[in-house]
Amino acid sequence: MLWYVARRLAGTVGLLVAVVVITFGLIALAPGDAAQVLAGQAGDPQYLAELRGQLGLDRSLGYQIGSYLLAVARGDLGFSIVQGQPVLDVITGRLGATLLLGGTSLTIAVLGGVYLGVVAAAKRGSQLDTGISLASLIGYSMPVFWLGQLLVALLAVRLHLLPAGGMSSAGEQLGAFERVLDVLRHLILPAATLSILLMALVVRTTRAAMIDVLEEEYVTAARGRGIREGAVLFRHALRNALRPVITVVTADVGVLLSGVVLIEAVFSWPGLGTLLLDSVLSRDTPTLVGLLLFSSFLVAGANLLGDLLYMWVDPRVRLR
Amino acid sequence: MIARLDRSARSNPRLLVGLVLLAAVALAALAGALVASDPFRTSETVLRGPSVHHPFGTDNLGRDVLDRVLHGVGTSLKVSLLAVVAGTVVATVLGLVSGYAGGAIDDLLLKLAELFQVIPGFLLALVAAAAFGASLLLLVIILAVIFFPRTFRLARGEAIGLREREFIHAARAAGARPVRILTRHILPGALTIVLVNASFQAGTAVLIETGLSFLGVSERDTVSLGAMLFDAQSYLEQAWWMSLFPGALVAVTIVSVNLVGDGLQGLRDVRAAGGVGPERPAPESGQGAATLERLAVASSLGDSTKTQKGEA
Amino acid sequence: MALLEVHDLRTHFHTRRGVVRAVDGVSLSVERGRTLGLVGESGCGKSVTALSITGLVPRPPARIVGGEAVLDGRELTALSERELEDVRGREIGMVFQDPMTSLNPTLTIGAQICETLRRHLDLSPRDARRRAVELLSEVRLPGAAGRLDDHPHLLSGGMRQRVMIALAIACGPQLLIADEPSTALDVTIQAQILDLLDELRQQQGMAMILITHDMGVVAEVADEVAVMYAGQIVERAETVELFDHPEHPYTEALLGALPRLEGDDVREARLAAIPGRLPDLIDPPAACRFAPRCPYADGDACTEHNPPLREIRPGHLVRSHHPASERASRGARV
Repeated sequence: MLWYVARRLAGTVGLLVAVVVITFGLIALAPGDAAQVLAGQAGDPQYLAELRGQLGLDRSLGYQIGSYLLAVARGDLGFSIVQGQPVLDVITGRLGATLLLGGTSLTIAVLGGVYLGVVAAAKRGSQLDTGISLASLIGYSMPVFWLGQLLVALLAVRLHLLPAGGMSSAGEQLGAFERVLDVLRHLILPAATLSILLMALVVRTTRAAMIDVLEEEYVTAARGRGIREGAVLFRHALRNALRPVITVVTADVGVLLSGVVLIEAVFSWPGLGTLLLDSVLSRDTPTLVGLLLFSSFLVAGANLLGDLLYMWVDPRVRLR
Repeated sequence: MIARLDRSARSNPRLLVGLVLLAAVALAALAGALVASDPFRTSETVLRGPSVHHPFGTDNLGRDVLDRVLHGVGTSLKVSLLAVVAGTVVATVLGLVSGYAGGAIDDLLLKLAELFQVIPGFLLALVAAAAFGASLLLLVIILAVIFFPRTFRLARGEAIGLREREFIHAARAAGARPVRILTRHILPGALTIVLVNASFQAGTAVLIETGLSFLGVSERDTVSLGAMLFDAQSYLEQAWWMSLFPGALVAVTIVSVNLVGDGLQGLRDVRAAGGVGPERPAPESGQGAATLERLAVASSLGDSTKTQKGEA
Repeated sequence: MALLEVHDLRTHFHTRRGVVRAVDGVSLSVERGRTLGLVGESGCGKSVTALSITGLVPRPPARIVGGEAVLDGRELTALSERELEDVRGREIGMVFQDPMTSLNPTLTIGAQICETLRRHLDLSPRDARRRAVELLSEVRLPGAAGRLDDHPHLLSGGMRQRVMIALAIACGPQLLIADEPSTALDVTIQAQILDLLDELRQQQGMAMILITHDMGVVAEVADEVAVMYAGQIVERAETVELFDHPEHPYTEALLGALPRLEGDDVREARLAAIPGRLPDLIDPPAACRFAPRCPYADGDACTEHNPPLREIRPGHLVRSHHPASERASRGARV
């Protein structure tokens, strides 16, 4: 198994190199460059050339990619002139906020989604099932940013129940405990929005997988032994239905990431999503490449995690 | 075809509702292109609520929200349709050929698909749009690239699954050429799942298009529902209509294509389950394989894991 | 009083095409310590009968619309789902046809046995484990003690069926329902499994319902036989009586006694050899259900009235307008 993980990680490295090449290529193809952005529209040509030299933009594309990859291998993602600090620091500085938002939403979505999916499948064809299925279809189809807007408009703007954006209340002296509470209050709306999207996905997947599994003979056999229905559903059936759920959840980390970007924009949540958006607008190439690399790494890592979880859930799975 | 759709629609309300909604959305887009007035015309009457004159109200620049919404949905549909058609055709053809023929090209294309699956599509689109400047054509191309891996893998999987089946062997033995085998025997089998996949991708395309323009990455002289929602963000307190109508239209558009996808999937299930005979009293059994295919569509299953059912 | 009395049981499946009468008025009884063979071709409703008795038919689409099943004085059909859960596994053990699919692939064998033991008996985890090993030895699983932590996919079909049997007898049930327990197995293993079942039944004094389509199996194991056709019992008798004097033309066909099937070895007389198929069980006509395939079917009686189940000799019931003994006395046309 260690061997398997090592081989998969090696494969991931290859993919990440390809991601770097693609990103650099894309940016090189694009008109204008980071130096122009820094120097402004009417930049002095000499200053521009100087900047390009500083940034290594005067070298060939191959050289730029090569030296970047070497730096990455040393754990150096380059320096963001816009932010005035190393890209790695920029990213790790924002990582916490995004992990808090994404982790909370994912946890809520998986727990709630699996539960609702099991219930819907167990009561298949009932009004409850129809309701859950319909709600998940709608939740799945809702543009997250609009959903976020609606929640803000209702709960923050109209009813003043929750803050409309940000991660903490500015300019207030708060104790440690109050600070945590304050962040949690700010977390509720963005996390709720993101979890609705993800939960819809998990519900759909769980329900479909459970419906298949509930027709298996071993489910009838377990009932035939008098196993309580709850245990039949959650112990016997769900374990077997989890595989596709794991696939969907880990394969859709990309969906999670795009949701994070949009939701952070709606709620001005100071995480990687707003960082990405800022970098796009300011043409902060090193940060952009770093972020793409980082998120590709996340996706690849999630896929690997998914395959390992498979093995844990289903002993028949052999990883090769 | 129409008759079959009609018959299946009655036993398949999702497909029916989805098609009706989609037709309504398309009609709205058509109305936007043909009837609605200039969506860029500003006026003094800013931030007015819905009225007879402006059924959906006006925005912060006094532009008619209804006009803009009708144009915006046209943009969404155009982008979505072009991207999905382009992506699906290319990926399906390549997938079928690659899966059927196998070999080095198959390996290469599979690696390529894997690569594009690792890069989060939305982020890629965002970076590309930022680099090249936002244009609809670029967006269509990027979306097609994003959609490529999943469709490619589905089509490839179908081709591989069918390649070794009896009737394909028979056709080959009868001297049928590969192109004919692919178009006559393998494509029809793959078509439903590819169509199901395409409808879900159409929804994703609308989401990405509006999402990007919501983030401010969109063509300047095109109306986009996402950009309207971005404008609405600053006026949530004064002008709810600026958010409600464009957002609802985005949601309805996506719901409609997802319903169509679900419905098409349902047709496939019914066909897979076959008729209900007295031999098999349980009428709803036999959906196993079909549901798993739906999951394959809903996700993008990695090839790295293989289940070995214990046969011993 | 018999251990299990089933009276006029009716189970319908509600499908889009209509109501399928999968079990249509089945009555049978099983005495303590005896084996009833329930015979018929696939789709005749014998499995649904067993599932209806234990309340395991999938609802919806199925519904038990009438009749009752009484186990040891308790009316099973009147119990709540939770009460039924207490009966299943504790008082009725079940063995299913395909051992490949009836064990949960994601749980170890030990986990599945211990779970069943602790569900019904008041055992500590450690006692349950010890008892599980005993059970696996009782069903003669090779290397019983070392198998507890294995997952099912590591076992062969025959071994898995032994595990299924261990699960079925784990809590000492009074009644064992075995649904085609040997059909999916290799021929060489079939006999072993049947012998094992019969041996355990005798040891523990259980009664058994053995569902099968194979008359050879019935001859070996069953004390009594009930033959099912198209959702109904068409003949019931002691095994010896039934084999010596089959009355229903369908039973005769099963036994290879019909003229046109002459020469077939009894054990080999597969039901597929009978021409025709089961009738559609959606709105079956009032006619005798076997009439379309019956070589003796004639006139109005066969096409207009479904014959009642009548006692043609003491303890021998048959549902036919033309049972063998009456054909003989009339000098039938065979």
